[in-house]
Amino acid sequence: MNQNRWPEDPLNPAHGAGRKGGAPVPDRAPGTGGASGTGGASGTGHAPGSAAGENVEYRVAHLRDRLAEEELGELGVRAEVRSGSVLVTGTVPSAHCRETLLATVGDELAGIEVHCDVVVAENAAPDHAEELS
Amino acid sequence: MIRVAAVGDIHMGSDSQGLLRPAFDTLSDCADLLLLAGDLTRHGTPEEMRVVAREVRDLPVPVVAVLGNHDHHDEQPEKVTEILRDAGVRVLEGESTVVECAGSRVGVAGTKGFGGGFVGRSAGEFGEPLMKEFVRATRRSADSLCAALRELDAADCDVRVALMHYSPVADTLAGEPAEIHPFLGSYLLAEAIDTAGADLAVHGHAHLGTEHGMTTGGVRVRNVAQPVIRRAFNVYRLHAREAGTGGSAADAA
Repeated sequence: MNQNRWPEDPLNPAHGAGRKGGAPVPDRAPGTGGASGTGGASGTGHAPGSAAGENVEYRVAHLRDRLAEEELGELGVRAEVRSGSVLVTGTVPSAHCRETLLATVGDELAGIEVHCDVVVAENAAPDHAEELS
Repeated sequence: MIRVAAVGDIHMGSDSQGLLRPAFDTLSDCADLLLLAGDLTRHGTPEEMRVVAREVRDLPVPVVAVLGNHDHHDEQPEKVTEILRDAGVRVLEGESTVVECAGSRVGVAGTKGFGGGFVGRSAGEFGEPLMKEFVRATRRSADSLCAALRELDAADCDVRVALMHYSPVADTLAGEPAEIHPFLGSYLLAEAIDTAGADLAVHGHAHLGTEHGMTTGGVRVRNVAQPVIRRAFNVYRLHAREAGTGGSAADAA
Protein backbone atom coordinates (compact mmCIF):
# COMPACT_ATOMS: atom_id res chain seq x y z
CA MET A 1 0.00 0.00 0.00
CA ASN A 2 1.14 3.43 -0.79
CA GLN A 3 1.57 5.15 2.55
CA ASN A 4 1.90 8.54 0.94
CA ARG A 5 -1.21 8.33 -1.13
CA TRP A 6 -3.78 10.84 0.03
CA PRO A 7 -7.46 10.20 -0.41
CA GLU A 8 -9.27 11.94 -3.20
CA ASP A 9 -10.27 15.33 -1.92
CA PRO A 10 -12.41 17.72 -3.91
CA LEU A 11 -11.03 21.19 -3.46
CA ASN A 12 -14.08 23.24 -4.19
CA PRO A 13 -14.63 25.32 -1.02
CA ALA A 14 -18.28 25.64 -2.00
CA HIS A 15 -18.58 21.90 -1.45
CA GLY A 16 -17.07 22.15 1.99
CA ALA A 17 -13.84 20.32 1.24
CA GLY A 18 -10.96 21.83 3.12
CA ARG A 19 -7.57 22.68 1.81
CA LYS A 20 -4.78 21.14 3.82
CA GLY A 21 -3.67 24.04 5.93
CA GLY A 22 -2.71 25.97 2.88
CA ALA A 23 0.67 27.41 2.31
CA PRO A 24 0.24 30.97 1.10
CA VAL A 25 0.22 31.41 -2.64
CA PRO A 26 2.64 34.18 -3.50
CA ASP A 27 1.55 37.20 -5.48
CA ARG A 28 -2.02 36.10 -5.92
CA ALA A 29 -5.19 37.10 -4.20
CA PRO A 30 -7.48 34.35 -2.99
CA GLY A 31 -9.70 33.05 -5.74
CA THR A 32 -13.10 34.56 -6.04
CA GLY A 33 -14.40 32.26 -8.72
CA GLY A 34 -14.96 33.00 -12.33
CA ALA A 35 -11.85 34.30 -13.96
CA SER A 36 -9.41 34.04 -11.08
CA GLY A 37 -6.84 32.49 -13.37
CA THR A 38 -7.00 34.96 -16.16
CA GLY A 39 -4.35 37.57 -16.47
CA GLY A 40 -2.03 35.44 -14.37
CA ALA A 41 1.13 33.77 -15.45
CA SER A 42 0.03 33.60 -19.05
CA GLY A 43 -0.70 37.31 -19.14
CA THR A 44 -3.75 37.03 -21.33
CA GLY A 45 -5.74 39.44 -19.18
CA HIS A 46 -9.31 38.39 -19.95
CA ALA A 47 -11.89 40.35 -18.03
CA PRO A 48 -13.69 38.49 -15.26
CA GLY A 49 -16.92 37.09 -16.52
CA SER A 50 -15.85 37.16 -20.15
CA ALA A 51 -16.44 34.08 -22.27
CA ALA A 52 -12.73 33.28 -22.33
CA GLY A 53 -12.46 33.87 -18.59
CA GLU A 54 -15.20 31.35 -17.89
CA ASN A 55 -13.71 28.69 -20.14
CA VAL A 56 -12.57 25.81 -17.95
CA GLU A 57 -9.88 24.68 -20.36
CA TYR A 58 -8.21 28.10 -20.36
CA ARG A 59 -8.36 28.19 -16.57
CA VAL A 60 -6.68 24.79 -16.45
CA ALA A 61 -4.01 26.08 -18.82
CA HIS A 62 -3.44 29.07 -16.53
CA LEU A 63 -3.24 26.73 -13.55
CA ARG A 64 -0.48 24.79 -15.26
CA ASP A 65 1.36 28.04 -15.96
CA ARG A 66 1.13 29.03 -12.30
CA LEU A 67 2.32 25.63 -11.06
CA ALA A 68 5.38 25.94 -13.29
CA GLU A 69 6.20 29.57 -12.63
CA GLU A 70 5.42 30.05 -8.95
CA GLU A 71 6.90 28.50 -5.83
CA LEU A 72 6.58 24.88 -6.92
CA GLY A 73 8.29 25.00 -10.31
CA GLU A 74 6.08 22.03 -11.04
CA LEU A 75 5.87 20.64 -14.59
CA GLY A 76 5.03 17.05 -13.74
CA VAL A 77 1.45 17.46 -12.58
CA ARG A 78 -1.33 16.90 -15.08
CA ALA A 79 -4.66 18.73 -14.93
CA GLU A 80 -7.41 17.63 -17.31
CA VAL A 81 -11.03 18.56 -17.78
CA ARG A 82 -13.32 15.57 -17.28
CA SER A 83 -17.02 16.14 -17.79
CA GLY A 84 -16.99 19.65 -16.38
CA SER A 85 -14.75 18.86 -13.41
CA VAL A 86 -10.96 18.87 -13.31
CA LEU A 87 -8.77 15.85 -12.53
CA VAL A 88 -5.33 16.70 -11.13
CA THR A 89 -2.77 13.88 -11.07
CA GLY A 90 0.95 13.51 -10.51
CA THR A 91 3.72 13.13 -7.97
CA VAL A 92 5.26 15.97 -5.98
CA PRO A 93 8.49 15.86 -3.97
CA SER A 94 7.16 16.65 -0.48
CA ALA A 95 4.04 16.99 1.64
CA HIS A 96 4.65 20.74 1.76
CA CYS A 97 4.65 20.84 -2.05
CA ARG A 98 1.35 18.99 -2.08
CA GLU A 99 -0.19 21.50 0.33
CA THR A 100 1.02 24.37 -1.81
CA LEU A 101 -0.30 22.68 -4.93
CA LEU A 102 -3.72 22.13 -3.37
CA ALA A 103 -3.88 25.79 -2.35
CA THR A 104 -2.95 26.94 -5.84
CA VAL A 105 -5.45 24.60 -7.46
CA GLY A 106 -8.18 25.74 -5.09
CA ASP A 107 -7.38 29.37 -5.83
CA GLU A 108 -7.11 29.06 -9.59
CA LEU A 109 -10.08 26.75 -10.06
CA ALA A 110 -12.43 28.24 -7.47
CA GLY A 111 -15.99 27.33 -8.30
CA ILE A 112 -15.02 24.25 -10.31
CA GLU A 113 -15.26 20.73 -8.95
CA VAL A 114 -11.75 19.29 -8.66
CA HIS A 115 -10.62 15.71 -8.07
CA CYS A 116 -7.06 15.57 -6.80
CA ASP A 117 -5.01 12.40 -7.14
CA VAL A 118 -1.59 13.85 -6.39
CA VAL A 119 0.82 11.76 -4.34
CA VAL A 120 4.07 12.52 -2.55
CA ALA A 121 7.26 10.88 -3.86
CA GLU A 122 8.37 7.79 -2.01
CA ASN A 123 11.83 7.96 -0.50
CA ALA A 124 12.44 4.40 0.65
CA ALA A 125 15.47 2.44 -0.50
CA PRO A 126 14.67 -0.34 -2.98
CA ASP A 127 14.28 -3.88 -1.70
CA HIS A 128 15.65 -5.49 -4.85
CA ALA A 129 17.85 -4.80 -7.87
CA GLU A 130 17.25 -5.43 -11.56
CA GLU A 131 19.60 -7.89 -13.17
CA LEU A 132 20.78 -6.77 -16.61
CA SER A 133 22.46 -9.77 -18.17
CA MET B 1 29.09 -7.64 -11.15
CA ILE B 2 28.67 -3.88 -11.03
CA ARG B 3 25.77 -2.36 -9.14
CA VAL B 4 24.58 0.98 -10.50
CA ALA B 5 22.12 2.99 -8.40
CA ALA B 6 20.27 5.78 -10.16
CA VAL B 7 17.56 8.36 -9.62
CA GLY B 8 16.51 11.61 -11.28
CA ASP B 9 13.99 14.35 -10.72
CA ILE B 10 14.33 14.53 -6.97
CA HIS B 11 13.42 18.23 -7.15
CA MET B 12 14.80 19.27 -3.79
CA GLY B 13 13.94 22.53 -2.10
CA SER B 14 14.22 24.11 1.31
CA ASP B 15 11.69 21.63 2.71
CA SER B 16 13.55 18.58 1.38
CA GLN B 17 16.62 18.32 3.58
CA GLY B 18 16.99 14.83 4.97
CA LEU B 19 14.23 13.19 2.93
CA LEU B 20 16.59 11.06 0.83
CA ARG B 21 19.64 10.80 3.05
CA PRO B 22 18.42 7.81 5.09
CA ALA B 23 18.03 5.77 1.89
CA PHE B 24 21.29 7.10 0.43
CA ASP B 25 23.11 5.99 3.57
CA THR B 26 22.24 2.38 2.67
CA LEU B 27 23.97 2.61 -0.72
CA SER B 28 27.10 0.80 0.40
CA ASP B 29 24.97 -2.29 1.01
CA CYS B 30 23.44 -2.43 -2.46
CA ALA B 31 25.38 -0.30 -4.97
CA ASP B 32 28.85 0.64 -6.18
CA LEU B 33 27.99 4.12 -7.43
CA LEU B 34 25.05 6.52 -7.59
CA LEU B 35 23.93 8.30 -10.75
CA LEU B 36 21.79 11.45 -10.52
CA ALA B 37 19.86 12.03 -13.76
CA GLY B 38 19.16 15.74 -13.45
CA ASP B 39 16.35 17.93 -12.11
CA LEU B 40 17.91 17.77 -8.70
CA THR B 41 16.29 21.11 -7.80
CA ARG B 42 13.01 22.89 -8.52
CA HIS B 43 14.30 26.20 -9.87
CA GLY B 44 18.05 25.70 -10.16
CA THR B 45 18.94 28.20 -7.44
CA PRO B 46 22.17 27.92 -5.46
CA GLU B 47 20.12 27.62 -2.27
CA GLU B 48 18.27 24.59 -3.61
CA MET B 49 21.45 22.97 -4.90
CA ARG B 50 23.06 23.41 -1.48
CA VAL B 51 20.23 21.25 -0.11
CA VAL B 52 21.13 18.61 -2.69
CA ALA B 53 24.84 18.96 -1.91
CA ARG B 54 24.25 18.35 1.79
CA GLU B 55 22.08 15.36 0.94
CA VAL B 56 24.83 13.62 -1.06
CA ARG B 57 28.01 14.85 0.62
CA ASP B 58 30.25 12.07 2.01
CA LEU B 59 28.05 9.25 0.74
CA PRO B 60 29.62 5.79 0.93
CA VAL B 61 29.74 5.46 -2.90
CA PRO B 62 30.91 7.80 -5.70
CA VAL B 63 28.21 10.09 -7.10
CA VAL B 64 27.99 11.14 -10.77
CA ALA B 65 25.39 13.65 -11.98
CA VAL B 66 24.07 15.63 -14.89
CA LEU B 67 21.90 18.71 -14.60
CA GLY B 68 18.30 18.88 -15.80
CA ASN B 69 16.15 21.63 -17.23
CA HIS B 70 14.96 22.67 -13.76
CA ASP B 71 18.58 23.05 -12.68
CA HIS B 72 18.98 25.60 -15.49
CA HIS B 73 15.89 27.66 -14.67
CA ASP B 74 17.72 30.22 -12.51
CA GLU B 75 20.32 30.50 -15.29
CA GLN B 76 23.23 29.69 -13.02
CA PRO B 77 24.31 26.25 -14.27
CA GLU B 78 27.99 26.94 -13.61
CA LYS B 79 27.30 28.04 -10.04
CA VAL B 80 25.09 25.08 -9.14
CA THR B 81 27.57 22.72 -10.82
CA GLU B 82 30.30 24.16 -8.63
CA ILE B 83 28.19 23.61 -5.51
CA LEU B 84 27.71 19.95 -6.42
CA ARG B 85 31.38 19.48 -7.25
CA ASP B 86 32.37 21.01 -3.91
CA ALA B 87 30.31 18.24 -2.32
CA GLY B 88 32.35 15.63 -4.18
CA VAL B 89 29.91 14.96 -7.01
CA ARG B 90 31.29 14.40 -10.51
CA VAL B 91 29.06 16.60 -12.69
CA LEU B 92 29.16 15.82 -16.40
CA GLU B 93 28.13 17.87 -19.42
CA GLY B 94 29.44 16.31 -22.59
CA GLU B 95 32.15 14.65 -20.55
CA SER B 96 33.09 11.27 -19.18
CA THR B 97 34.47 9.91 -15.95
CA VAL B 98 35.75 6.52 -14.85
CA VAL B 99 34.77 5.16 -11.45
CA GLU B 100 36.90 2.38 -10.00
CA CYS B 101 34.63 0.15 -7.99
CA ALA B 102 34.36 -3.50 -7.02
CA GLY B 103 37.57 -4.19 -8.91
CA SER B 104 36.06 -2.90 -12.15
CA ARG B 105 36.22 0.26 -14.19
CA VAL B 106 32.82 1.84 -14.73
CA GLY B 107 32.73 4.56 -17.35
CA VAL B 108 29.97 7.14 -17.26
CA ALA B 109 29.37 9.58 -20.11
CA GLY B 110 26.94 12.34 -19.28
CA THR B 111 25.00 15.17 -20.81
CA LYS B 112 21.75 16.93 -20.05
CA GLY B 113 20.50 16.34 -23.58
CA PHE B 114 17.56 18.23 -25.01
CA GLY B 115 14.38 17.80 -27.06
CA GLY B 116 13.39 17.53 -30.69
CA GLY B 117 11.43 14.31 -30.84
CA PHE B 118 11.78 10.90 -32.34
CA VAL B 119 12.14 9.43 -35.80
CA GLY B 120 9.25 10.36 -38.07
CA ARG B 121 7.96 12.99 -35.66
CA SER B 122 10.97 15.16 -34.98
CA ALA B 123 11.96 18.76 -35.43
CA GLY B 124 14.52 19.68 -38.06
CA GLU B 125 17.10 22.40 -38.52
CA PHE B 126 14.91 24.53 -40.74
CA GLY B 127 13.14 27.85 -40.70
CA GLU B 128 13.38 30.41 -37.97
CA PRO B 129 16.72 30.86 -36.20
CA LEU B 130 15.12 29.87 -32.88
CA MET B 131 13.91 26.60 -34.37
CA LYS B 132 17.29 25.83 -35.87
CA GLU B 133 19.04 26.63 -32.62
CA PHE B 134 16.66 24.34 -30.72
CA VAL B 135 17.66 21.37 -32.86
CA ARG B 136 21.34 22.34 -32.96
CA ALA B 137 21.46 22.41 -29.18
CA THR B 138 20.28 18.81 -29.10
CA ARG B 139 22.70 17.83 -31.84
CA ARG B 140 25.62 19.37 -29.94
CA SER B 141 24.59 17.51 -26.82
CA ALA B 142 24.29 14.20 -28.69
CA ASP B 143 27.63 14.71 -30.40
CA SER B 144 29.31 15.38 -27.06
CA LEU B 145 27.72 12.24 -25.62
CA CYS B 146 29.01 10.17 -28.53
CA ALA B 147 32.51 11.56 -28.10
CA ALA B 148 32.44 10.94 -24.35
CA LEU B 149 31.34 7.31 -24.83
CA ARG B 150 34.14 6.81 -27.34
CA GLU B 151 36.62 8.17 -24.81
CA LEU B 152 35.43 5.54 -22.38
CA ASP B 153 35.83 2.81 -24.97
CA ALA B 154 39.44 3.86 -25.37
CA ALA B 155 39.82 3.97 -21.57
CA ASP B 156 39.31 0.22 -21.28
CA CYS B 157 36.19 0.36 -19.14
CA ASP B 158 34.43 -2.82 -18.07
CA VAL B 159 31.03 -1.16 -18.32
CA ARG B 160 29.89 2.02 -20.05
CA VAL B 161 26.81 3.96 -18.97
CA ALA B 162 25.21 6.91 -20.76
CA LEU B 163 23.68 9.34 -18.25
CA MET B 164 21.20 11.96 -19.49
CA HIS B 165 18.28 14.00 -18.26
CA TYR B 166 16.27 13.98 -21.51
CA SER B 167 15.19 10.67 -22.99
CA PRO B 168 16.92 9.01 -25.95
CA VAL B 169 13.89 6.85 -26.82
CA ALA B 170 10.12 7.10 -26.92
CA ASP B 171 9.72 3.73 -25.13
CA THR B 172 10.28 5.24 -21.71
CA LEU B 173 7.86 8.10 -22.40
CA ALA B 174 4.87 5.75 -22.52
CA GLY B 175 2.29 7.40 -20.28
CA GLU B 176 3.21 10.92 -21.33
CA PRO B 177 0.99 12.65 -23.91
CA ALA B 178 2.44 11.94 -27.36
CA GLU B 179 2.04 15.62 -28.23
CA ILE B 180 4.82 16.61 -25.80
CA HIS B 181 7.33 13.92 -26.74
CA PRO B 182 9.42 16.44 -28.72
CA PHE B 183 9.97 18.29 -25.44
CA LEU B 184 10.97 15.16 -23.56
CA GLY B 185 13.81 13.82 -25.65
CA SER B 186 15.43 13.18 -28.99
CA TYR B 187 16.40 10.24 -31.15
CA LEU B 188 19.74 12.00 -31.68
CA LEU B 189 20.75 10.88 -28.19
CA ALA B 190 19.92 7.25 -28.99
CA GLU B 191 21.79 7.48 -32.28
CA ALA B 192 24.85 8.70 -30.37
CA ILE B 193 24.56 5.84 -27.89
CA ASP B 194 24.16 3.23 -30.61
CA THR B 195 27.03 4.69 -32.62
CA ALA B 196 29.54 4.75 -29.77
CA GLY B 197 28.16 1.82 -27.78
CA ALA B 198 27.05 1.54 -24.16
CA ASP B 199 25.83 -1.10 -21.75
CA LEU B 200 23.08 0.99 -20.19
CA ALA B 201 21.44 4.36 -20.76
CA VAL B 202 19.79 6.19 -17.87
CA HIS B 203 17.60 9.28 -17.97
CA GLY B 204 14.88 11.15 -16.11
CA HIS B 205 12.61 14.08 -17.07
CA ALA B 206 9.47 12.09 -17.96
CA HIS B 207 7.55 11.87 -14.67
CA LEU B 208 4.59 10.12 -16.23
CA GLY B 209 6.68 7.78 -18.33
CA THR B 210 7.79 4.17 -18.01
CA GLU B 211 10.98 2.72 -16.57
CA HIS B 212 12.00 0.26 -19.27
CA GLY B 213 13.04 0.88 -22.86
CA MET B 214 15.67 0.05 -25.44
CA THR B 215 17.39 1.83 -28.28
CA THR B 216 17.01 0.49 -31.80
CA GLY B 217 20.62 -0.67 -31.47
CA GLY B 218 19.75 -2.82 -28.43
CA VAL B 219 21.04 -0.72 -25.53
CA ARG B 220 18.84 -0.93 -22.43
CA VAL B 221 17.31 2.40 -21.39
CA ARG B 222 15.95 3.12 -17.93
CA ASN B 223 13.84 6.12 -16.97
CA VAL B 224 14.77 6.69 -13.33
CA ALA B 225 12.64 9.78 -12.66
CA GLN B 226 11.66 9.38 -9.02
CA PRO B 227 7.92 9.58 -9.75
CA VAL B 228 8.39 6.64 -12.13
CA ILE B 229 10.52 4.34 -9.96
CA ARG B 230 8.67 5.36 -6.77
CA ARG B 231 11.76 4.87 -4.61
CA ALA B 232 14.78 6.86 -3.49
CA PHE B 233 16.75 5.12 -6.26
CA ASN B 234 16.81 1.94 -8.32
CA VAL B 235 19.71 -0.48 -8.64
CA TYR B 236 20.80 -2.16 -11.87
CA ARG B 237 23.29 -5.03 -11.79
CA LEU B 238 25.56 -5.16 -14.81
CA HIS B 239 28.08 -7.82 -15.73
CA ALA B 240 31.48 -6.56 -16.73
CA ARG B 241 32.24 -7.40 -20.33
CA GLU B 242 34.83 -10.08 -20.88
CA ALA B 243 38.15 -9.03 -22.33
CA GLY B 244 38.06 -8.80 -26.10
CA THR B 245 34.30 -9.07 -26.44
CA GLY B 246 33.64 -5.40 -27.01
CA GLY B 247 30.26 -5.51 -25.35
CA SER B 248 28.38 -2.72 -27.01
CA ALA B 249 25.48 -3.20 -29.35
CA ALA B 250 27.31 -1.16 -31.93
CA ASP B 251 30.35 -3.37 -31.71
CA ALA B 252 28.24 -6.48 -32.06
CA ALA B 253 26.40 -5.22 -35.12
